[in-house]
Amino acid sequence: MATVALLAVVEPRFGIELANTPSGIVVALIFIGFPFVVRTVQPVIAELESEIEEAAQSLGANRWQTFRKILFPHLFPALLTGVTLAFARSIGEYGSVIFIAGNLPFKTEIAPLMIMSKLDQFDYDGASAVAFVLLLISFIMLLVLNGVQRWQQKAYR
Amino acid sequence: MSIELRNITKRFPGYTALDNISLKVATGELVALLGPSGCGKTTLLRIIAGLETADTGSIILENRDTTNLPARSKNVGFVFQHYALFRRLNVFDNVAFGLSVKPAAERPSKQEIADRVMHLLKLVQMDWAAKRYPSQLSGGQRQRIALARALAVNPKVLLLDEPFSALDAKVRLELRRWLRKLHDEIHVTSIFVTHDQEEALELADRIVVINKGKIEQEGTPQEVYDHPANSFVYNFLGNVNVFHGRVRNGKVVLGQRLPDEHRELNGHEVKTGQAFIRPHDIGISRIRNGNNHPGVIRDIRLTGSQITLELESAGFDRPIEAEISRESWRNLELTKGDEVFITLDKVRVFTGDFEI
Repeated sequence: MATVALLAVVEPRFGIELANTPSGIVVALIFIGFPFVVRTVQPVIAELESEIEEAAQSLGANRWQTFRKILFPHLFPALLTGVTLAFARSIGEYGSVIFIAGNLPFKTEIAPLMIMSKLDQFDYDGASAVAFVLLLISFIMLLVLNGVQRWQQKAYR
Repeated sequence: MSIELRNITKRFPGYTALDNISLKVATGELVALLGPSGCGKTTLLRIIAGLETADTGSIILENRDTTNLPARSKNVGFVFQHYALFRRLNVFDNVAFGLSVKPAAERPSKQEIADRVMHLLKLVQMDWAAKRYPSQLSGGQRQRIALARALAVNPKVLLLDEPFSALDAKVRLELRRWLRKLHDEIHVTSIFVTHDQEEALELADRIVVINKGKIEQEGTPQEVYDHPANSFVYNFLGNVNVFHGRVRNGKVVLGQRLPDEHRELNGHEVKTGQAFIRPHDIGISRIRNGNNHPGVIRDIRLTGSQITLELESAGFDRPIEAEISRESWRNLELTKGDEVFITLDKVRVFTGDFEI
């Protein structure tokens, strides 16, 4: 949260407009979701033996080839898990988004916040409708990610 | 001359891993770097491969100075102790990797790569496993794939870092005989690192014994085994009895009587020295003559084809271990507690402090 606030303060100096814009939403959610990706990928990187890279090097591969052909496929499952977690976390996130993107109708309005404001107005039907759409989207997304994961494991085994 | 190392020195904070090492390896030779763990042998191998850089000195591979080349331009095959196979690639793709990452201009066609890979897999007797993944293979099979992978790029030299030490005893033995046969077929200049003296003696054309970053001795297996240059080599290669004593007037004072003159030692000063003798060089007899020592058998161990005797003799600071054949054991009808006479003719004496 502190990072998000800091970003909102610092950002005008770099000439990128983030406050009250849709890109602000993206930035806020990246900050929220990133730790999940880092947390899942980092241990995999840590246990990766340096010998694997050395083997690739001694076979004539340059750094980019080593990364693309050896390291990335190795990290991919963890990366996917991290992305899934980050996605699940971001879908319901609205606190940080209000701070940085505001809540401008039809511009930087996000679904979770819409649900909250509808609940505030005792519009339970409206809130449920939005929630249902949100649920549907997240369900489809998780299903797709799961499918990719399964396909990935099949290719490996 | 395929590999030439000139004055390689490598220091790590706190210690010197390699101290002014110079070494030549002829084309087609299979050389063992033998030494205790931490002696710098693996560091030396990694420097040749370009995975590490030396502080000083140069590395010449086939008359080309490759000292400052990165590993990927050295054209050196490297086999790792723990295989380092690419887990996400199948066996075929593992072996094909070196060819498939070549720049487009040098890269063989898909068909040529496939032919070469299958040829190599046949060579290492693993062609049935092309579609398997490394996790589905045993240790010995993985190491053979690692070898095929290293050979795929036609390396000028093949470097093997303790290639068998992660395998169990039986597979290790099998694989090293197989490697010797393979080397006789393909004749690629190879260096392998090992701390197992038996492996080095059996496999290598030439052995380079390294200790504390220095070469102690180099020579054929027979030379280093039969004529060790110093106490370290003597002690490191094979089982040995060590007796500590004093050397006076060129004679070793040990036990009641020990062989007299030793050409290594002259002068009249008194020095500490050690006498070395291999267990199988010790003679055991029931009959006393002028040249043997009385001793008592404390223990008899049946170690496969040989019988190991533990003997005690007056004047020796520690028990003497002797190895005799089953046949002479039967002929002499030895049992625990028997008094026998020990011949120590082949003892060798080194002065100076002994340490390993």
